[in-house]
Amino acid sequence: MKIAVCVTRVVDLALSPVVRSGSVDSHDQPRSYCLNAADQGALEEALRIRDRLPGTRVTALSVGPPECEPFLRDCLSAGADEAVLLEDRAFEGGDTLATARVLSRAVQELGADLVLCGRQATDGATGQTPLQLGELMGVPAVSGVVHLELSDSEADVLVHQKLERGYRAVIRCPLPAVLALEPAVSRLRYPRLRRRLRAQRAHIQRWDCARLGLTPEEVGERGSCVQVLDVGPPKPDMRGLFVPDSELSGMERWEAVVSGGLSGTASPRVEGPPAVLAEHLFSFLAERRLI
Amino acid sequence: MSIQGAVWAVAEGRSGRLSEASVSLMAEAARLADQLGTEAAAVVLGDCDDELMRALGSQGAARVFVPSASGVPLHDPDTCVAIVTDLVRRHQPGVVLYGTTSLARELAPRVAVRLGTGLASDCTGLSVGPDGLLRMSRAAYGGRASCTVVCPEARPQMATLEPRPVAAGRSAVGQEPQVIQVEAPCNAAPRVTVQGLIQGDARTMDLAEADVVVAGGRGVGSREGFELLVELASLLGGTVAASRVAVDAGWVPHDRQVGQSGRTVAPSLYVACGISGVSHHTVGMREAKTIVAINTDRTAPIFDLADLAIVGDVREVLCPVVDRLREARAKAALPGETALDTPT
Repeated sequence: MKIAVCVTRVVDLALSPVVRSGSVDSHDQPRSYCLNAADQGALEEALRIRDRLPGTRVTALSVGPPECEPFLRDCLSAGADEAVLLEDRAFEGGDTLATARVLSRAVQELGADLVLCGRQATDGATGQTPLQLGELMGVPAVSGVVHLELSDSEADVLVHQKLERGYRAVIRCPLPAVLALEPAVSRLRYPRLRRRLRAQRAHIQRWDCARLGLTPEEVGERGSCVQVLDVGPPKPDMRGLFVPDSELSGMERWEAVVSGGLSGTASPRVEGPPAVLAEHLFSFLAERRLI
Repeated sequence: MSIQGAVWAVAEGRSGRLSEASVSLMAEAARLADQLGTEAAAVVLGDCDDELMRALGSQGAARVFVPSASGVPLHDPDTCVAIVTDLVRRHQPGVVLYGTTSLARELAPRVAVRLGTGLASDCTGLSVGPDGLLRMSRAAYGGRASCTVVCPEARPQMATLEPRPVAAGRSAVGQEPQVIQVEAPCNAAPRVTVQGLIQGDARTMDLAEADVVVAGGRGVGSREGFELLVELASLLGGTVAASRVAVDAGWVPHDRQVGQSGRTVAPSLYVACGISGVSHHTVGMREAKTIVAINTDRTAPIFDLADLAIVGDVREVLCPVVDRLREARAKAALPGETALDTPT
């Protein structure tokens, strides 16, 4: 059995990237990136399948610049058998469809029976690529997978898909297939020193546009439909903002602000007998469509 | 104007009802259609009846496409993809909007591939730029940045849209929509089979994955006290969590701990029960979209974060709520509760 695991490097949000109008400044050092958490979980699931079925081959795939190589080495350290970096200047600036096109060619080249990916990257967070990959390959794709079991015949896989309100759909899906895992499904094992050292010396294959049989018009910015026009700081959350009553005079409004109105609590306390409080809670949840 | 073609909303009807998300989607489609000087239309997946048509009409749908009489099963994404793709090819809308339900999230990227067009997912706002292109804003980098994307050439322009409260008053201009029955393309044997629907276990569901987290602290009082929280979490489709005090007391296992020495969560709803809200706890939950706090101490710092601050005893407040939810669940009267209508 061959398993392809699609991984991507993402801006490490734990390092609080600075968002300015027009750009996201990730401090631009190699370690201001990390391997996407959901992809790590996908790799772990692949390794667990291999633990059970020796002879399984796990390949880590990534589309990105040469700087992505350390992250593929991390995958090798954790236990992937081989790693392929899909790297070409032409791939730059691609949207999800262009990226999925590159991945689909690579997966077909590998002849993988099962493709595992994280449901979405923490930076772009579109969650589209796995489904588009499945569609391009002409195989089923299931997103939001929280549990997967390979059948004994290795012909299909039983997955639990996360739905709304804590429900899960139990789905039987024939292979080959693309499965996109929720981030918290499993945590990537800690690499052994020996594997880690070996990974440093391992050869990472590089496949470019020509090797994949793609033309530069189909990939990267030229092959994309969606363009990012602008990146900027998000609109502030409305919660807790103090706005003085516009009916008041300027002086009174000013006083309301300087008297500490700004640090005032977001919502008033609700007090009363328990039945009333319960009623209040129930209607609050209903109003916000949480039940 | 560079956009021709209508603005479409892909609505989902569940047990003959339009989900709230679909209503807000239709309203947004109508608003954009107004701006673009074109008409708004809806495609209904799932079951559909007259009441649902009126609901769509009242939000501004001029035409409603209904695939086949029986409706399209919502748990068959393959068929849904085929229908939407086919309809778009035949009628050439300029804009197609989807919700952010699990079906829409699965459907929209695949339709985009078949049509060879772009898609902006989880948009928080849509507007029309001076060039007539749809400006789609969405959050990225874990909410730290907001991106504006456009789809300059490929058509239709497509987006999945986060639900938002619907402004009332639109119904006044509502019309009876023209209903167009379309033949659902018959699908060969579906590739994936949905075998059933299960409820995730509130005790074991991973904290990071849950959309609803019910957390307890010292105020819960005992291991038994947490049973009520588990019950509430199950009814809300979420999971239970705890502050350090409750974990140290052995009321809940350590993997349930939220805060500095535990996990960090950002669910849609966080219910803090009997948690005072010291910073060691709040760093783990302050990103939650909606926070409800229940505490007997009216000066507890958790109330400063809360969207709803209830001063009272956890057990006394939650018992009636749990009872009412259980009742509602038994009647299955809550709209949009079942994600699939007929699990096979």
